[in-house]
Amino acid sequence: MQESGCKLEHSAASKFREQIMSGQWSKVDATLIEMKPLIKHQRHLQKMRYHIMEQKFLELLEDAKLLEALACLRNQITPLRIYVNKVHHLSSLLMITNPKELQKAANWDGKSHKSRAKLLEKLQGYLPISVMMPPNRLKTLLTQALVYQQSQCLFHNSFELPQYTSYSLLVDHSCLRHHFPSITTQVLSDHCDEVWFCCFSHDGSMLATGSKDSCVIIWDVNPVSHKLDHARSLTGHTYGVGYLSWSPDDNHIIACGTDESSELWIWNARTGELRTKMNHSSEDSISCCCWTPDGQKYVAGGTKGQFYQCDLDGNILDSWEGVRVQSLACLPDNKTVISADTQQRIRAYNFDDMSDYNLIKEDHPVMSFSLSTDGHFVLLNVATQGVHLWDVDDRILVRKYQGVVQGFYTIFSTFGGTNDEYIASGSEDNKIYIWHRSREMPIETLCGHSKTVNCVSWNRAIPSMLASVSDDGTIRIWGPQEIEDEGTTGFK
Amino acid sequence: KTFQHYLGSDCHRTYSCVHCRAHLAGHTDLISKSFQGSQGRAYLFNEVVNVDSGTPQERLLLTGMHAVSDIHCKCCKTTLGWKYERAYENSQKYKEGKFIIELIHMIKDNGW
Repeated sequence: MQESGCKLEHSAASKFREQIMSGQWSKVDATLIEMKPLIKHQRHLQKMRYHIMEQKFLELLEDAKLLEALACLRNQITPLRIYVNKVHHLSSLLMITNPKELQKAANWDGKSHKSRAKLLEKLQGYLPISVMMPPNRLKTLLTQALVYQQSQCLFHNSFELPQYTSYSLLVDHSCLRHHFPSITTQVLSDHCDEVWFCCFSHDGSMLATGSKDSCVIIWDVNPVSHKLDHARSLTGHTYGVGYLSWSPDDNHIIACGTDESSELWIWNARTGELRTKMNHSSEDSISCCCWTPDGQKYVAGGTKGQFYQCDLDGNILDSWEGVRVQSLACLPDNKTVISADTQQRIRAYNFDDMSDYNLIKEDHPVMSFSLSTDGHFVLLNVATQGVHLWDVDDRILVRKYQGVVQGFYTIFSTFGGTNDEYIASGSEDNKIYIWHRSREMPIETLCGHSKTVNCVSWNRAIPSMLASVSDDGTIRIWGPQEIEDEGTTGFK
Repeated sequence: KTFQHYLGSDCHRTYSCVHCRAHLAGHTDLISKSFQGSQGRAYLFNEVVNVDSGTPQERLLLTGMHAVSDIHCKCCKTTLGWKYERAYENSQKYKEGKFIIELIHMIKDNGW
């Protein structure tokens, strides 16, 4: 420091610090006067004096030096004429003899290093920064740099928070896609026709896929190898399975058919038995559904105008007339259901008081939408326009994501990653597009399917696993690339 | 699974496919009623939804030589009419990019 000529802090400031920490109060006062030109306001000087004297007073009381304490109060604190209420409180403390009670009453830590350090911090607030450096400044700066780098890193997909000891700051941080799905790890061809929908369970242990071949297949996810095994097949969906929804506890799954289907099947996902088959009337068309967050009821609807709230046995509890429902989701408040209808709107419906209101109005038809886990954002697939992210509470468009081709077929998209920071969508050009939530351009496109990718689902428990289904009849599981040995010089 | 467009919010008079009731066009997009198709009268529309077109072919129509592509309903796949891709005579240029739907395939939705 001497060589560079840089001063860490003003010499008077270091003296000041030293004197406060050792409790040399009279010297402190002298140093304070020395620093007077550095302090901006006269008032601040008084306040600093007050705090110092208060500390001195309390320490004297603790040491039971009553006379000295009284002298301090009378001659040094009172003439300052500020914080009069506090001064009165201090004089009442004179009566207390027990140090512990004193500490409690004065809200003070006792005559110690700790309380003096606190005093120092308080006083530092009044001094300009150039005089005395705030504590732990370097650590704060380093952590800030780390957080910024992490936010810039597009592929950062892990659960850990940045610690400045765990990352090297010599090079800007960017993840090597270790936790990011980029290659196909498995191709499952158990379905014999177009696969229309896929959905991971909430705990990430199972995947359900629905197909035009009237089958729903439940797959078990092996948490170690990240591979899927065929667990159960649920059959009997006459018009094909267009939509699936897991119950919040993952015990049940609802399967809906297409526009022509009037039936809805509720299966026990763990045993494979049919719990209920709901068929209200053969004129109905139910094409989408969703569970309420408490798992006791579900809402189902279709484009021909049916919109029902039902219980687990298929009894209709409430219904709404005249709404053509394209897609549904239940908000976490357990009362409101939001739905996309054919009039290019997203509306919210409250089944308790049967009120409804407009949330979002788009210019083009909304094919499908999904809700983020915190319930504040919705991701819309808008025909011919791509994927739009809207804020539910503020009702504004946050971002539009480019690259997707859609307009002919119903495509579903999803949130993904550890904090819903990724967005993935299928597309009619046989690719899967993945965006980071903060960027409009895709960060990754996954190729491999030979026909339109209808639906993608991101595993919530294994953030590096993505499933996609396509009209080519296959289900593809995507995972991270194998990590190459970092010791090699670049050639294998 | 095909996605069906609905003309709802700003259009109260819609024409639908008579076979599957999918919306085809709104009354505001109607340009002319005086066309003839192979099976009777046909309407000329500016914009249509839920239709898909085939490959363009050159055909000699009553009004001259045109390049047209047949259009069909996305939902039930019946051929509805054709789309004018190019017109070779200047007087017919106004038809380019517009759609002809034959009346036997259409019905007025919601009774108007």
